[in-house]
Amino acid sequence: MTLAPTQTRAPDPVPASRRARRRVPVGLSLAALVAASIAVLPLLYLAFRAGQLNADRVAEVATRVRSLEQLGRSVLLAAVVTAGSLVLGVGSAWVVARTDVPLRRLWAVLAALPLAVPTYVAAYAWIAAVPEVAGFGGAACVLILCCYPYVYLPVVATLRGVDPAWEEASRSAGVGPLATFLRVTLRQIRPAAAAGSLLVALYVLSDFGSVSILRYETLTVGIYRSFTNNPFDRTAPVVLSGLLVLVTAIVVVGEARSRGRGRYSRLGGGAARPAQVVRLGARRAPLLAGMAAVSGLALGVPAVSLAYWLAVGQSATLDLPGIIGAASTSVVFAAGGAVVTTLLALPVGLLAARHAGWFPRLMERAAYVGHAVPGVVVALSLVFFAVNYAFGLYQSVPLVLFAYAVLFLPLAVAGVHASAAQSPPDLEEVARSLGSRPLEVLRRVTLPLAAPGIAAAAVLVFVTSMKELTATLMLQPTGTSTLATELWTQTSTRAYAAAAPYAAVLVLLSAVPAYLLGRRSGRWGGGGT
Amino acid sequence: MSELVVTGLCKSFGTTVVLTGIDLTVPSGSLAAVLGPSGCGKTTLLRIVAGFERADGGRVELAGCTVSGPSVDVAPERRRIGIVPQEGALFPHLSVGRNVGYGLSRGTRRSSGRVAEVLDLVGLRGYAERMPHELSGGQQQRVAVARALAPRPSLILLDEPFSALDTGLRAEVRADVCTALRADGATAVLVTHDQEEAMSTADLVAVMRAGRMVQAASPRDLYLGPADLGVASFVGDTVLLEGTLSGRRALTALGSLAVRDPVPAGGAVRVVLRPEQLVLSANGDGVPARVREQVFFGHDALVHLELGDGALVTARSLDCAWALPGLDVRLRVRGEVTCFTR
Repeated sequence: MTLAPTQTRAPDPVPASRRARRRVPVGLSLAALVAASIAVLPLLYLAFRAGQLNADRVAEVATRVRSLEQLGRSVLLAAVVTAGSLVLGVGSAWVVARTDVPLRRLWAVLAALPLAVPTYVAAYAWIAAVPEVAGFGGAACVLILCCYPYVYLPVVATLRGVDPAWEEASRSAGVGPLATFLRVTLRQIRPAAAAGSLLVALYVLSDFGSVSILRYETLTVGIYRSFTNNPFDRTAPVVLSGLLVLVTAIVVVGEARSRGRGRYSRLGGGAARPAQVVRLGARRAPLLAGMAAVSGLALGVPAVSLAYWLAVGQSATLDLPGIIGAASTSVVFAAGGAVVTTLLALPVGLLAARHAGWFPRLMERAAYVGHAVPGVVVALSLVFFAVNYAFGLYQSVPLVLFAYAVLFLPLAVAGVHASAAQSPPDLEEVARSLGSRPLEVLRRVTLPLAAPGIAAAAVLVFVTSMKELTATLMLQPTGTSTLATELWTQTSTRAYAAAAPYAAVLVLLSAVPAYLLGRRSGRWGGGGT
Repeated sequence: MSELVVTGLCKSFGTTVVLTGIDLTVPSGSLAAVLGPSGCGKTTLLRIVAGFERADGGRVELAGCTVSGPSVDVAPERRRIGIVPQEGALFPHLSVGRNVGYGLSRGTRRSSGRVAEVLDLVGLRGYAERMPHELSGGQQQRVAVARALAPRPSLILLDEPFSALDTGLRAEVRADVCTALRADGATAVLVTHDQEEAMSTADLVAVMRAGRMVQAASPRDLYLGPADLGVASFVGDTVLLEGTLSGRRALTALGSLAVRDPVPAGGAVRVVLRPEQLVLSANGDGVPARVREQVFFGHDALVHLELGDGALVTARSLDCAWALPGLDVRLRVRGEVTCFTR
């Protein structure tokens, strides 16, 4: 039978906002609310404390020359490191993605690698090798070398995906290669570069470990000092924390604003042809030397310095029980942090992946607060909270894990959301129609399907928690210490040989899961304080 | 028994009206097809029946119990309605056997042999240990049907289950699935935009258009007695003629033709018939016509003809190799025609 072709073959379109119509389960919502509340508690409590302060004292602290100097140093360092990372990150991305520089694949891997080394480990290695790096210049250089992968990674991915047709159109319109790069290519990579710069700026503003080791007193160091010098004075640390949160908020809002205007440079997906490779010719040698120099400074110097101090330490007394103790504390804290954070992230991520509407969105936003709040601020708030309302928790392991949860919830929520979004909602509907109640669907379908992604998120939190220094330092129970805090303590007394084994074990321990993660996803996970 | 009765179903998404007063009755043990173009609301109807959407008004009754109504909204897992989604949606982490056994209680899964029984029904005996990704598209669709059948639901809903399959495979899978549904005595509703699929598989075809139910009838009645011109051309090729009604006969360029019930009030009418109702002969009785073109399809051919008054008609014929363009032939109408008031 031949029939009139009056119909199309397209299937019925799914209602545009189908996610929105599904009833939001009460249990899941309550669990997400708990997680989101935990994420915003430190910031809210800090605001509450700030509201109770004596206004005159606040003004006095805020206008102290020392406070303003610390604020200025934080802003200056963030600006310089961001600019430097932008230059180094975009430059190496272009060399790796668009030129015929020798050993391209090697540079592609090496340029991402500094992310795996905690910045305070790099800072320790540098100051132990070259004491002159102390101060602004050294801190800026070390942080640029550690942070430029935040810009390099998104930009190199974008450069590889960019449709070369625009550049070709520009060249055939009579515009030279350099002008084309400036006028066309740079615009295309702008969103990626801006996102990377935001990460760098937030990182530098919240960084405590490396600036304290490199003896450059920024706001985070100021907060820590005012807190340890006089634990009974609540005004100074709270006011300084307020200043730091304010600067952070300005950076986040500013980046969001600039992104809104940059809409024209949005890139389409789809498989574009690979861009033409620039033949470097005579410029090969200097560029090759440049790439080698960057990797040598970012990875080689810390590695050599660490190896040297390890060798020196062999002859000195090797505190093996101390190292093993710190390593096991690190692993236990990080594992606990991974479990707690992932459990809290589950309801938020599942809710956001499965339901639209203001409530799931609000919960997810709230869970992301920790992304922009420095660890020193979270820790400070938790200390005050515990001292006032739950003294039993003060300097206890649960409080450390609480801080990890606040700080790393964004990582875990992103992982859970992405992996849950991968399994189609059809599967859950089929399961319902076969007689499974919502909780049973979660147990038998949703979670098993999302399990690999959730496990990866947990590993990422584990690695990041293991490298965490600031909050751990302020919250860890008396008498215990992790690899990170022990390294910091030894370094601050200039016991470089004694510090070396802690740094080495820390790098080794976090390299294993980071390697597993990298193999799974093909790229390195970022983040860390 | 498990009769499905839908009455007065309404649904809007925001300001977009998707369903308006849908009525549908599917007798127990029969296979109904909901047929309509993309975006006519048929998938929404299915999702309301399954319990994934809430209707704004109207009622869904299954086996005499209201499952969806003004104050009733039974959860999907308590409706005993199996669904077969478009692309099968097999659980990728479970073997074929575990997919099929998903809806069975642990005891039943082990002891009853129901899993093997339904796999047998869909022609996949011995596939229980395979994983879904090891199956072809057609096999996956068969497993999805077996999974829906396994807990013996009151009703099975199939949402365009064959549209993702290759044309060749589609007919085969469709036939096997329908055989399996009938062998298990299931009541089923199949949603499709493919009229060939609807006509060839269902006991009852319900045609939807722009959120309304236009006509629900057996495939034969639908084809021969469409409710309006839109249905007529949606379910098959048509020959359209102007005519004047006189009693139970219509006077047209093809002569005086017998009109099928219901006969409209009278006067000027539009006459609809099917190309295969036109009989071609070289010289016999009938009105004269000239062949303009012949389109050969293999199993049959369409002959485009011009009548004396210049009207164009199309005849379908199995044996018309002789009807070459330019030839004068005779045309006769077989059977009754349908008339609509103009």
